[in-house]
Amino acid sequence: MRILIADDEMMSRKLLQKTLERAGYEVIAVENGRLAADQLFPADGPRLALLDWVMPGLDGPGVCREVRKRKEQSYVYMVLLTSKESKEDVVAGLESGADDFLTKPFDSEELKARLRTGLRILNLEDRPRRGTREDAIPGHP
Amino acid sequence: MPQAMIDLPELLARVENDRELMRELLLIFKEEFPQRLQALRDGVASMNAERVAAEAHALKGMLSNLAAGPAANAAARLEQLGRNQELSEFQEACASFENIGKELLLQLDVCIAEVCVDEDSHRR
Repeated sequence: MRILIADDEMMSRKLLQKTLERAGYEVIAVENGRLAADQLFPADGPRLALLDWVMPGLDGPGVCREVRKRKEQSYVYMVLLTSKESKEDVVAGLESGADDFLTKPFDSEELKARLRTGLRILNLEDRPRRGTREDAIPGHP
Repeated sequence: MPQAMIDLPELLARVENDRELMRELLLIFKEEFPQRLQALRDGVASMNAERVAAEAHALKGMLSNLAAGPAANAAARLEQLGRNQELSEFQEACASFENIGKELLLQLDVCIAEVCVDEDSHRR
């Protein structure tokens, strides 16, 4: 599975890249949000992304907003990396279109577990939809 | 005995015991730290709170990745002072950070030397 890493800090990028390559991911690493968005826009781009919150130019939430605007592409599962911890920050991050967030410095096992969650969601997203409005559970929209 | 500036067991856990990666991270830090520190000094000298917060934030991230707790905490304090625009505290907090940074760099050199020796012995 291909995964995009966007972080302007070289140590962080290197650490993430090695950790994920060891876990079997094919890693594309970029150093800013603009390059991240360019990688994620094409239909055949990576569908998993780890985005640092604070980057020069386009930040992590900015990348999420731009990617979510493009409704025609396959779903991209995006995780924000942040040292911001307040509830307001978490809410702002998730409302930008991120699926999850991870606090830096990250724990490698937690990182891999969260990405496995992302993979499960992408697998569900790719399944042919079987249910219709007629067989929906009553009372559940 | 000086306080340990790098928590080696934590750093090793962070790199999943990959000593080559650990060496690379230490070398990247050694190269980047002086530039980042100078940018922080410039921010403090010009009393530019936004720049102090941004540079301290970047330093905090690097130091946390290195499991360098005391220096990361000192950077976090500077970041907070920058965000709160507490200009009168900048000089003292920056001096304190620089003192910790000096000790960290000394210990870093020892760490790099030790990792290189360990790698050589693993190769044999």
